[in-house]
Parts: sequence; structure tokens; C-alpha cells
Amino acid sequence: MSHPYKNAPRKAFWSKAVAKDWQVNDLLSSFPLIRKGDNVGSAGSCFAGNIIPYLEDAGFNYVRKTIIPEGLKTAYQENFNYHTFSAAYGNVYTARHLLQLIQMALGLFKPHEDRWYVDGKVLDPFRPGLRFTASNDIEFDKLNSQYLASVIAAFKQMDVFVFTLGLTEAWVSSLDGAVFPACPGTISGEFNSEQHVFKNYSASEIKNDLTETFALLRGINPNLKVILTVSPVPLVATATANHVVSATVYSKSVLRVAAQEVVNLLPYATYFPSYEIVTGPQAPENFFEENRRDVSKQAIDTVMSALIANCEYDEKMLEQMASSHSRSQKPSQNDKNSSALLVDLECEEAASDPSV
Amino acid sequence: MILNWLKDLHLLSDKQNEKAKPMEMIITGHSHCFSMGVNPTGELRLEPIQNDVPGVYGVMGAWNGTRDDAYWQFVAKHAKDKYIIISWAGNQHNSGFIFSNEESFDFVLNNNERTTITEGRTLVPKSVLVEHFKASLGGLHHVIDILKKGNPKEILLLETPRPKGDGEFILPFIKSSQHFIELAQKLNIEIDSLKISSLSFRLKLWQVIQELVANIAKEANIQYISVPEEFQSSEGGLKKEFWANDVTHANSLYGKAVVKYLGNTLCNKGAIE
Repeated sequence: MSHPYKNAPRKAFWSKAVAKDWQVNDLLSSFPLIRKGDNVGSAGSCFAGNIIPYLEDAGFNYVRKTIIPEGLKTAYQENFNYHTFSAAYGNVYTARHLLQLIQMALGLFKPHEDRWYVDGKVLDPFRPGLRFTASNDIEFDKLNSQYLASVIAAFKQMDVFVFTLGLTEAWVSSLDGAVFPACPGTISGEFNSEQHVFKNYSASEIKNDLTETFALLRGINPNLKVILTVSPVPLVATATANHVVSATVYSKSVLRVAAQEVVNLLPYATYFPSYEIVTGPQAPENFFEENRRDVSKQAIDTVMSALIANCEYDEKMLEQMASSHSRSQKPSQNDKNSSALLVDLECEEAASDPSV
Repeated sequence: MILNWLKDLHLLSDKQNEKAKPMEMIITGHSHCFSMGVNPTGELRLEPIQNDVPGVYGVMGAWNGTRDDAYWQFVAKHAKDKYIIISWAGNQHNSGFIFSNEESFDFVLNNNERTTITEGRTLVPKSVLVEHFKASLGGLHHVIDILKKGNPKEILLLETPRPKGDGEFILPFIKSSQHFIELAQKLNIEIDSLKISSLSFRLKLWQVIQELVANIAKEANIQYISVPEEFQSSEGGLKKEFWANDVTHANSLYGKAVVKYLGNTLCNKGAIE
């Protein structure tokens, strides 16, 4: 008797594709994710920062619009990944934050609470961990305008944009809905219970924010392709009444649903299964560090090997990837430390846990 | 009442002594103090500087590019009741920024609507430059603490010379300097293709340094002293007549003028002809 499963591929069956002969590449259905010579940019949660060195090691051109002058390289060491990304936006945890960033860069949105005055400094509420801040409004306006212009320049240059969805939970301004990357008062600024309200975005809100964002981006770069992925890193803390584990499962589920709905809707968007590779039941225990939150270097290596294996690369890139992979087979104490640092020190999110 | 009278008498007598005592100052610090007559050779010693102003001393002694604690302790030993003038570093705006290819960024110097930013340059927060220059000023608080123990009359941090404006003047000194030749080789720069960064760029950097020095003076409760505007060119750099025949320093004419200005300011007795 014939039925829909009769001719389903091997990967459709747990017994064949997971219990036996697990192949990480089976999770991917689009090839190539990135073509040879593509300019790649990225944004997202702190996990998104991890992919950059791998992409560069593999020979892809990572778009960078933040230029550090040669003579100031020693002094100009930023915090929280700000200068790691294509422009100095740092970690962008929510879809709404990404939308807001693009709207601000295009001059479509100007948040009411657009700066904080703290100890003689003028701080950017949307980049609260910037180490080097403005000291007056004139400097703030000029630096911010250059930064927002660099955001547009970066997105115009990209062929492929990789966005890692990190969180559904955020703190927003009650004045105009402007979303902050971290709860005001945790990294900088001051928490005001009347002005700063908690928001847990739904799947449909996230889907709408992403589709609106990508429509805006395709407006300035009509050929831009998008790769969506969900960060496997659990929440550091939740502001809901739920246990942090329940809040994490809810949050990641919502993000995964939203990502899939966007991919189903937009032909230029692809999903890359970072979340599944690291957190699926097939994943080895050592994909998380002892605290079961920090993703290990082995896990990141596996994710990135899968990504790059599904990109167009030449032999040279393959060799680089192999050498990077062989390095990853023997993690050193330093590797572990840098992985922990990436998560604990470079995520503003970690600041919401007073014990960190 | 008698006690008050005695106190008043004591103060009066102090003031009389102060007036009677001739002004004495010691010029100290790094290489910019050489223009003021400090001799950078031989053993560490205190000697009068040949100048139009009486009571001016220099801490003479071999110069190896820095001043260690022994130097400052020597100054402190002779500091009692004297004005101590510190000329601290002062070439930081040249180091790393003198070539035109290094002039790739700009910054907002102050809270002024008319502040101009050069088109096409990367804008960096001024706080980055503060961080960059802070390292060169790190030892200043420590030095001031050492000097204070010598009970000087006053310690003054002196403005260091403004940058020179003419790249054509500076270039030959660079091209003949072994230090710069080696630096250019290291940076893979063809020495003949070198151009000097603009005066406005170096001047802005110099202003950041002076602000930092002035802040240190304020924190240490000592005085920061600027030199008169007439020492500047119309573009705000060092007046050409004060340029020494090298890349960074002022000449002895400048040094004499500065010492005279210091004498006038500290004595508050009008011009010294």
C-alpha cells in the first residue's frame, strides 16, 4: 500500500538519520548558502559574533564599515562585539531591534529617548556598552550620524546577510516602543519603571518585524539574500514569571517558528539550523560547557563547518577550513576561555544577571 | 585679641619676607625644556640658566629620552620655596600622526556648534584619543607627588610648544633622521613619498594633550600655565621664528621668551626688558 512516507528520503526518518548515521549536512536543503566572492554581513545575538572569524578564515569577504585608524588601534579596543560586526551595532538580540536599527539608519524613526546623560557622558541607549562615548550632544550627533550611515553602507555592500535571532524578551520605551538591547540600568542608563516596560514578542510580531526589515533592506539592496538562524544560547535571565528553562524553550520556539514563517514567505531567505545542531537530541553533551549555557568551541566548530560546507568555496578555502577544523578537534584551555569570554563578557544580556 | 594681633603680625612678616625674597624657579622635564636653556649633558646638577631673568635654574644632566625617579627626587631636593616648572613630554601629537597617511580620522574637540570635521575622514570619539594619550601622561601624578615633598613654592605644568605648520620645513629633518628612516622601513613606506599631516590635524591633537595636562594640574591642585597668544602663528601653530631646526622642538628664542613670560607672571612685577 502506498503512503506519503513510502518514498520519503532517509533524512525524514529518526531511525535512519539520527539514531544511525547522523549527518549534520542532512539538516540543510539549500546550496549554496553563500556563493564564492559574496560579500557577507551579519548581525544578531552574541552567537552571531562567533561566525565572523570562521567566515573570514574560510576566505569569505566579511563586510566591515567600522574603520579603526592605524595610530589608534591599541587604544580603540571596544567592548561587547561592537566593532566585530559589519557596522558597530554590537549585539542585536531581537527582530524589533534590527528593524529599529534599519529604520533609524534610513531616517524613518527617531526614538524619543535617543540618548542618556550619565557622569558627563552622552550614551547611546541602543549601544549601551560602548566603551568610547561622546562627551557632548554635538559629538554624539556626529558620531551617531556616521555610525548610522555606516549601517546603510554595510547593508548596501552585502550580498548575503546572516541574522541570528537571539531573544524574544526585551525592554522597550513606553513613549514610542523603542527597544533597548539590554534593560536600562543593567549596563548603563537608569531604569525607570514608568518609562521602561517589559515586552515578550510573539511569533507573529517577530515575523512581521523581519519581513518589514528585509523589505527595507531590499529597498536599498535589491539583490540581498538573507540567512536566518536561531541562537542556541539559552537566556541568561527571564523577566517573565516562568523558570528560565521554560522561558528559554518558549523564546527559542517562538524564534524558530517566526524564522520558518519568514523563510516560507520570502524566496530570498534561507534558514540555517544552528539551533538544531547544538541543542537537538543528537547533539553531544560537550556542545555546552559545564554551566549548560555557554556553547562550546566544538559546537561552534560543528555549526560553522556545516555552514561553510554548504557554501561555494575553492580548494584553498577547503584547506583553511580543514586546518581550522583540525584545530578544533583539540580544544585547549585557551579555546575554552575564549568561548566563555564570548558568551559571558561580550553579551550585554549577561549584565541582567547580577551574579555574573 | 593679643593672639590675633600676633597672628596678624606673623602674616604680615611672612608677606614682607615673600616680597623681599627674589623669585627663583627651576625648569624641569623632558626635551622641550632644552629650548629654555637646560643642558642635556653631563651629571645631574642644578645650574643657573643664562637668561635675562635672574633666579632661573635648570636641572642639567644627560638625557636618555626619559626622566626617572632619581631625576625628580633630585629636583625635589632643591625645590624648597622655588617655583618648579614642568615641561612634560609634548611630542605625542607627532608620534604616530605626523605623516599625511596617518591623518585618516577626525574628532569633535569641544562642545562648539562651529566645530569643523574634515569631509571623508573617519570620526572617532575624542575619548579614544584621551585613552591613547593618557599613557604618555601616566607618570605625571607620581612626579608631582615627589615634587610636593620638596616643599616648593609652587609647581606649574607648562604648555608644551604648538606644532609647526610647514611640512616642507619638517620633511628634510625626517628624511635625514635615522629614527624616521627605520620607522618608514618598518611601515613599508617609501621615504621619498612621505608627506606631512596638516597643521590643523596636529593642532587638534595637541589641544587634546594640553587639555589632559591641564586636567592633571587641576586634579593635583597645581597650576597649568599657557604661553601668550603672540607665540602662535595666525593658524594657531608655533610661530615660525620659534622653530628649531628639527621636526618637533622650539628654538632657544622661544625658550627665552617663555622664561621671560614665566618670570613676569610669577613675579607679577611687570615686563622684564
